[in-house]
Amino acid sequence: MKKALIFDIQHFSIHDGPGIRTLIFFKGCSLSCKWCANPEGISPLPDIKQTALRCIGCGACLKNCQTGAISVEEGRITIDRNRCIRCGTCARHCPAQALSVWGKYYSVEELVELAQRDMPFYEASGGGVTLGGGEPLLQNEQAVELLHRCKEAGLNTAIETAGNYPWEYLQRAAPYCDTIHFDMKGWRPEVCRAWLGRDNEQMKDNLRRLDGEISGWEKKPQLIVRIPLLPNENFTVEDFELLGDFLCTLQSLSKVEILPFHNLGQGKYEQLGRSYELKGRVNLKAEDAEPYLHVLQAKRLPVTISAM
Amino acid sequence: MGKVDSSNVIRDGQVWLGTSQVKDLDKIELHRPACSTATPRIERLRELYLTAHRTLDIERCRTYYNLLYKSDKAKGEPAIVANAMVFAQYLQERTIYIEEGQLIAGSFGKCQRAIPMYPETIGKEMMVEYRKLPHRRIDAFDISDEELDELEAMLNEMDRPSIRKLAFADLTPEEKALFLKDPDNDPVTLSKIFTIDIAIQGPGGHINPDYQTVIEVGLEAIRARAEHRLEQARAEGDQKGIDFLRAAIITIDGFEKFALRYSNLCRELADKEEDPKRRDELLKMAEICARVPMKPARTFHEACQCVWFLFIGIQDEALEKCYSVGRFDQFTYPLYKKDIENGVATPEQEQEILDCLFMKFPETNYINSDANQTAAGFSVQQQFIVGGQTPDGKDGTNDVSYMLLQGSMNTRFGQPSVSLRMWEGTPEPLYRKAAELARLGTGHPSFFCDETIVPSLIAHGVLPEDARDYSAVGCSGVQCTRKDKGSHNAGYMNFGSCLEFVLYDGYWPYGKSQKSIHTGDPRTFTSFDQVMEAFRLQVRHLLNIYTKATVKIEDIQRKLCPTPFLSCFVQDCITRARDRSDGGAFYNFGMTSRAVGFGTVVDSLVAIKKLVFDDKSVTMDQLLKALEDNYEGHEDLLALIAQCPKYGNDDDYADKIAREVTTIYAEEQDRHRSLFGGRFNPGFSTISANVFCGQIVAATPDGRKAWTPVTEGISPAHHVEKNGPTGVVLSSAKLDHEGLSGGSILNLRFSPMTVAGDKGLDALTAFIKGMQKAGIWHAQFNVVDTETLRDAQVNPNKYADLLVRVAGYSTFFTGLPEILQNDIIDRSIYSLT
Repeated sequence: MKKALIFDIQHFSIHDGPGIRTLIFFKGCSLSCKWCANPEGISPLPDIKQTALRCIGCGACLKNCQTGAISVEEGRITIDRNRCIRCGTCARHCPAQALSVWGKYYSVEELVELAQRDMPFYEASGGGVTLGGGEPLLQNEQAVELLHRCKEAGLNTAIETAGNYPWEYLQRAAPYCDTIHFDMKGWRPEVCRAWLGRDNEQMKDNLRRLDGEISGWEKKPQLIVRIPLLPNENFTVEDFELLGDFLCTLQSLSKVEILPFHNLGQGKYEQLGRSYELKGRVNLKAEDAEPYLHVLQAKRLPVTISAM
Repeated sequence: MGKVDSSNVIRDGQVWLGTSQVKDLDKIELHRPACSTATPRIERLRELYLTAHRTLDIERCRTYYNLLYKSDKAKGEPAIVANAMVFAQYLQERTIYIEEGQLIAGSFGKCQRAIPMYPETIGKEMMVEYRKLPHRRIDAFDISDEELDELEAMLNEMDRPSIRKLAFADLTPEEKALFLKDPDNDPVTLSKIFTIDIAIQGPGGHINPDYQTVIEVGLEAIRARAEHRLEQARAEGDQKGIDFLRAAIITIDGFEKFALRYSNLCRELADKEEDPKRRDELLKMAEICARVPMKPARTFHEACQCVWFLFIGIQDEALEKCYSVGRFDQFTYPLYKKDIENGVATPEQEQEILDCLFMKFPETNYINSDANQTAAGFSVQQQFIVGGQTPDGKDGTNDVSYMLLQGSMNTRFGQPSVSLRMWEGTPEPLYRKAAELARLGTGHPSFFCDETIVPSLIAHGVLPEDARDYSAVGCSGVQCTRKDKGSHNAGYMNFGSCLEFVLYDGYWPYGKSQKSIHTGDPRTFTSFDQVMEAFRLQVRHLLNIYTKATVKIEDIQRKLCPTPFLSCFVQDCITRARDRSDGGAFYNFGMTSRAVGFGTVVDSLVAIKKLVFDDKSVTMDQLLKALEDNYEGHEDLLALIAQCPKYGNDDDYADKIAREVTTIYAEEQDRHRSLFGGRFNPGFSTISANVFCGQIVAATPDGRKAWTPVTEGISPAHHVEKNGPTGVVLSSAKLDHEGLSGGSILNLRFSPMTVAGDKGLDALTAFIKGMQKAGIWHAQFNVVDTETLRDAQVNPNKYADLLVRVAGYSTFFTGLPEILQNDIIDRSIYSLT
């Protein structure tokens, strides 16, 4: 089996499933949401991370770049991202860790071993491992195998997915999940195209099919629908009425979480040499999402707001 | 005097708030967290303390001088009896007072925050430092010029040999080389390879005496035993026994009168008191002070007063540091329970009494010499320990356990230090309460794990039931309660220097001299094993010399500063008719150093193994050249080092070497025995010594630049850990804790956001439980963000009561020297993702 491309492994996570969890971030996503807080997870290739503040100006990267993608402008190292072949040579030669690589290949065995390391903390908290991204299920074979092996090892498992892939991808993964976080990122197709780069037909369809698939299971995963929210942008209150009606048709839904917009990913855009379209927007508070909350509450959906 | 004279509190418009950096009383901001249940009385006592000056109190020195040098009273008496007479006399004539509103009587000195003087162990060479006290920027004290003149005249006339002087008088050339920076030309300046500061100021404290027996039977009963034992010693002609027991009885007699003085003072104050409620309180206190510690305590209030009286006795007898209250919840619970059942008091009233007791502890104090960098901010560490196993292996958690955690939330000072003993039987609500306290950010409680500690004590010869009855002493040290002679910790050994001596064949780059033994030119080493063997030999050499010095100091201590009063409640001193400093205790562990720079050493050894011996990508010669150049022009090598495995990531490559390093240290220390045949308790608790130890260590193979701080405790190097706090905990749990019975400090810093709200509290609780399951020795938290600390550096008044955990102790951030403030800011901070 091919190795999995992972761009981060975060220990001690508590917002991604029950208890204290280890979060494994799969690289590559078929969406390009404007608010994306993990833009380093979008490309299916490694990315060079540049932390300008740490640069000591030694020039080691300049000397070692094979494609001449690195230059100095006004005393600052600049990477021509079009010329960069993402080989990571510059990062290996950087003594200050001002350059590093997002994306490292791991075998499933290695990931299972890493996922098991924090066992004392899982036992103490009911935690486990969560596959996030990017879109973890795009590296489908590796993700499913990892979930399967983690389950065998007695770990609590969770995934965070947006459902934008063929149904089989999810169908294969679901039996090995204790929790599935499924994102609903918009309602109207044209809005989705503008904000996510895709319409949401496949995502809605996959959510519906997942619900049907697991409804008869004796031990079924907890299904949590997560809704990133920029009021009046990716959703209007009217959209929420329709979304709510749709969610009411699901039989296996455990919980709905509204995630008001935050800008905490902004720094990573700079480190990727990309511009952040939502620059200048402030973090939203829980009360900003309250009208939306009320819509779903009125439909007796089990909904909460998870503000940063 | 019944009240603190407020004119004495504010001088020149300044308020000394644990630091001379905070000024203007009316501009300070005090913060009350939501979890506090403190009554208005406690809030007033907090404010009273925060606005009091530290004072140097020469009354004790005066008594010492008058009795031993101006009278014949002690003429012909052995030193231990003469010392006991000074103690009793001092308690007779020293100034006493009671703070307004306090429910617990007694203080160490003549006014709030006064520290007595100890001429018997600290001689006139400290006079230069005393002269600086009123003016120095960090840790300043009040004392008038007249008193300083009087003090100097007394010290000069007595011309006592200090422990420091005696210990350093006849150093061998080998010892001199390591203790002193430039032994041939300068007999005073220490090398910073070793420090031995704790052991040379007095008996050294670090003891957990037997409060329980005093509470249960009273000092009267102990005196009766001593009198009985004295007859036997006389019959046997045991002169040492006779001297000790006579001294012990003199101290108890003296203390009896001392407690009665407080009883009388309470009554006098009651007579003058207009508020009927306060008058009743004072009359009740008068009754309690007439009862304890001579007779058994009957109520929780009496037990609290008894503990505090004994504390005063310990501190006024000798310069003790870090003596603990120990398992207060275990020995006071029966009285608490009885009070509640009999309707003597409500739980709220008992909490207030406990809070009043807590408010006495910030008074503990001592004067640091040097630049206050080894233990800045008054690291007198007085520990209460909560929960844990009982001697017979059950869970000891009770209502008082929770009250102690609440007391720490209510008072929020560096002292007393509260610790939590956790084990698989610890109930969930106690974990949760401890997490609630931890997230306040005061640095309390620190966490100790029974499953790691009890076997370590047993391995060092402690009986299982005593091992299960351990308490915390000092920072991360432990000791079986009631039976240990105390004073395990003598000072610090620079682990970074051990590594340097391996790299430079015993040569010291900072001092530009050959300091240690030759272990071979590392360029000629053909395997990593040779590096480790050289490291072992350097550690052996340093410990040989260090331990020889501490054993010598034990001998000096028993002559210069026996502690017969304290020995009255350390088992088995009365039975054995010997002072605790002279082999009277049931357990007689020796004093040793705490090693400083663990993470720096481990990461350096890992880099050597990986680059020079495994990958062979760098030669030893290239590495040494880069170190000499302080890495300038060797950026490629730094890049390689950055990619090496690092301790603190739960990475077995690094952690295996980390464990080996701890085993070497433990084994080499275990080759020695103390004056009384006891073993040693080696450990890694650096206080703040990592900053000054780093100042004499050149660049190291882990990428650290010359003269910068080495790592503290067993915490990883700052910013190298990538796997978050769980990786740090799991790495630290892999060390040879069974050998490291002296304990090791692990510092973790969380951002306040991480632990906010119910979810944050859940996470912190689960994290703490995870630490227990992982099997750590000790861990403690700072919960404060970098912005707050930076702001506090600029606006100290806004953060007058901002506590931080420095090492095994908490102190006011604004009172620390800037270099140490920066070191704390530089510690890695964990956020949730």
